[in-house]
Amino acid sequence: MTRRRVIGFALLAFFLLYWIPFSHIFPDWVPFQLGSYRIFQATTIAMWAVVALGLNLLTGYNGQISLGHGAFVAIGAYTSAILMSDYGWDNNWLFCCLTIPVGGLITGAVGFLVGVPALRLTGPYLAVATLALAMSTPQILYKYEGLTHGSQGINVTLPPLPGVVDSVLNQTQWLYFLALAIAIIMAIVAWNIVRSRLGRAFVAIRDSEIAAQAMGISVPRFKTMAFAISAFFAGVCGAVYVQIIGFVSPQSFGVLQSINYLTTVVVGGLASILGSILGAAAYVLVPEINGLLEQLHLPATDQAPGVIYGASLVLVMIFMPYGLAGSMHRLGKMKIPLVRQNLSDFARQIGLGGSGPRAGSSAAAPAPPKDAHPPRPPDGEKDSDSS
Amino acid sequence: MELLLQQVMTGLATGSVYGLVALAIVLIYRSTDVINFAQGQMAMFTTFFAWMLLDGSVLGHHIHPMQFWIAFTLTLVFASIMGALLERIVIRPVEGRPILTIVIVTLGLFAIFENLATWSWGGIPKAFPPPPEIHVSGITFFGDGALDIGPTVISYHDLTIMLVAVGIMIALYAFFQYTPVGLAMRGTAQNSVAARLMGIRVGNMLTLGWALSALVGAVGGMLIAPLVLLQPPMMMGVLLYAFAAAVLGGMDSAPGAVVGGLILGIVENLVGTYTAKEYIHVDWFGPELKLTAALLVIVLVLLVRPTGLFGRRTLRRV
Amino acid sequence: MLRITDVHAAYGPILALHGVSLEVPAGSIVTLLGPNGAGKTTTLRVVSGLLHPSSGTIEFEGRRIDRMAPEAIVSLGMSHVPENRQLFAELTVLENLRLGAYIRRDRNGIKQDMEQVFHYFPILHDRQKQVAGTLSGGEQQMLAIGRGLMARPRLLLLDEPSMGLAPLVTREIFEIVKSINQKQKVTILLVEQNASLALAIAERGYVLETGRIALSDTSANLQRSEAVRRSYLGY
Repeated sequence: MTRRRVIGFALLAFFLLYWIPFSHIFPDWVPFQLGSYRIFQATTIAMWAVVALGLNLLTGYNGQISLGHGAFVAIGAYTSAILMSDYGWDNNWLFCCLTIPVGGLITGAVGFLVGVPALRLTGPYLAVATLALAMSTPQILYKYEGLTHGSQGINVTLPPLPGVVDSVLNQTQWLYFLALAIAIIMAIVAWNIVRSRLGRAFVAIRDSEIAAQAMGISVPRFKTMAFAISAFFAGVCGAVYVQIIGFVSPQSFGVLQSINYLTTVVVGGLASILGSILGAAAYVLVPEINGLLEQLHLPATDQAPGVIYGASLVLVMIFMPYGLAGSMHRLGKMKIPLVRQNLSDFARQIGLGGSGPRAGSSAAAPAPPKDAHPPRPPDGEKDSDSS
Repeated sequence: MELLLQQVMTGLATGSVYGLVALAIVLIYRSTDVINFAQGQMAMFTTFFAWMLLDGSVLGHHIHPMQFWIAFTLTLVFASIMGALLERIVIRPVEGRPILTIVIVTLGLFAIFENLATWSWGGIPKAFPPPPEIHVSGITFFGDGALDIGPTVISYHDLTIMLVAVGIMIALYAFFQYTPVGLAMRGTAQNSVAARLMGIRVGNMLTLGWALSALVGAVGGMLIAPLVLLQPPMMMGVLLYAFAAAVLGGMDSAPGAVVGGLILGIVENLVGTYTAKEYIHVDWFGPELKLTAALLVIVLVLLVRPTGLFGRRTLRRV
Repeated sequence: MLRITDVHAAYGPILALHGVSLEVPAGSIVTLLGPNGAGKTTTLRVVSGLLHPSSGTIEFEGRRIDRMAPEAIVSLGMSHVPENRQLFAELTVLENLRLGAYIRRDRNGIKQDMEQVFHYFPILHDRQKQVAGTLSGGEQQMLAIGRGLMARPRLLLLDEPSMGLAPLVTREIFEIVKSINQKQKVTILLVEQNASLALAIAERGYVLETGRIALSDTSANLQRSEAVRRSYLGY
């Protein structure tokens, strides 16, 4: 470990473990205080990072597009909520925390079941089928109200903090550390998967199913496993959601949510652990723009974050196709400012100088067949077969 | 039996709208390889534009409300321009990039259109007027009446929805089949390198594809708006059904999109009717799940034919 | 008619042509030979505008075309029949031919040229409503050449017409190419791996090796040359 890395880690640890949870109680003259609302935001970032990690494993590393992860988060969340409110698991924190792996495992099993028919579908067909899953989720949740309490949703009450903890932290901080711990654990799990044989198999399948098969990788087995693992992560996220938000209803898990998970992952950076975390951070922090707009005396209506969110999706995809993480990686390596170079590309492409779509090398090379391949982190030529 | 036929008829009407929007989706997919998730919101946006002209309130200023067909035509022009501009400015830079990149871009457009519409016109649902009655050689189009066809009754509005949808499909077919530009677009969709070597400006073909698609979507939006209230999420249901229809029929098949739309319209209606309490006595299924049911149909079809009913099987080359 | 001077071209970081120069006089057939990967197809791509050269000039009838887009170059009177034919696989024979004439407006001229194409390739006439993807290899090559002719070009770029075809069909096609040149005065730049067939109909030949011109001579001399015989003609 280089010295710079150690310092970096130390700073990160200091920020995460001390500054975020505690700075709001500092006296006013201490700089860079984060209000307690920020703790909540940080908590939600940690929470969304988990589902982003899982979805990234499925879509970024394994190449299967899912627009339906809201369904999986819902399963995890409702499992946890039902156990807590209807089966008394909300009596002590041990059981509350247990709902997290339980929710994850149940969701993982469902994910496996979804993964089986998904084997037959690729690209746009898989995208639409998973979209269908996302659409049906609220309806199913409304319908089976015996279990899910229907449109009322489920309110959970959290047990009082364990004595040992109570003297040091309030509930907000406790939840922050809980979410942080889960996020770190899941990130380590994801990291290990990516670096293992499993991860390599995923990537091999993404890049060329046929070649992977020829190398002896059982494509169906690994693809369904990818769905299962990804669903597990989503279920964990859902269970954590219940602890933090304390309330679930069918509307929390609709189509828009599912779409958001995917955009989060792509904007953050596909096939990148860091990317998942950055994406989650971006998702939570972008609505802050409203405050910025107010300061600049620009119209800050309710819809502004939506428009900005949409516009930023478009802009990020045009100028930073590898997502935030990918661009950080590239910026680190390149001397040329990424933005300037891409602006002139952009100008040429829309016809301000140059004719039509990109002339030159991209037209000369035979066009590779379109498929579900996400852009890879920039450490090699992109060369893909059909799948 | 009569009820069945009736429901089938009504299903055909809504199905034609699904088919129209599905056609717009397939149009873009075939000519530019892009799945436009923003299709519904674009149609919604153009329908709001039409409403604005019909109502006489253009973003706070008052103008004389326009005659329906004038507003309709102006909206079509607006939609085409909007589609063309979108292609040029937003889609062109990401042309050729992996599918996910483009998916996200269209999702971004989705968010922009939805929020822009709410911002401009507010979230309160508005009533969109149906086309005014026209009498042509004894037959009434639009208006409030209904026609008796055998044992079923079909409202004039539904009837004209179907006729307009069919009309557009025929016009598109003729365009692609019999005009040089249409032929050039088909060629470009199949092989853009060869198209360039023929002197076809591929960029213009792509722009045209988007303009046409936006136009078709605008028609769909205006046809269905009188039946559902005009509000930003209006097209969500339609869009999802349209997507399902496009997938069901096969993403690269225009007739497939239409057939898929009709099937879905019928299925949706039948499930809605026949799963109500008087027909089946199970608790775990019912009309509220009709969306789920329709989509289950899709998934089942895709399992058997992964590229849709009429889709082409893509060759897997090693 | 066509003059390529010191052209360098690359695919991204990979250099393909290192200073290629050649000339195609009007009315002649010139062939570009060489092994796989030498850069023959790249050369044609650079001429027709699909790839922009990083340096060097390309002149067509005295006019510089090296920075022009392929769509514009076609309307100057040059047609490129690419490697692997690149037909519109789901369109019919007739539709493929019609698209070949896309840039033209003269209805009668187009009709005449289509009849001319059917005269050269009668089988295309028989199969005119057939979908291009279902034709045999030889028929597809004929269609590709026919489609290229529909633009009424003065210069035709032919990329490996013999690829994947049986010898009899290939010979037939080459004879037709020769007569296209003689009867209609179409200048032809022919890229080929089949050196003997190419040299048999060409007047001049260039041999390209790893992006550079290795030999340049009349085809008669090339056919006699020791080097060419050993490497490309097999004896």
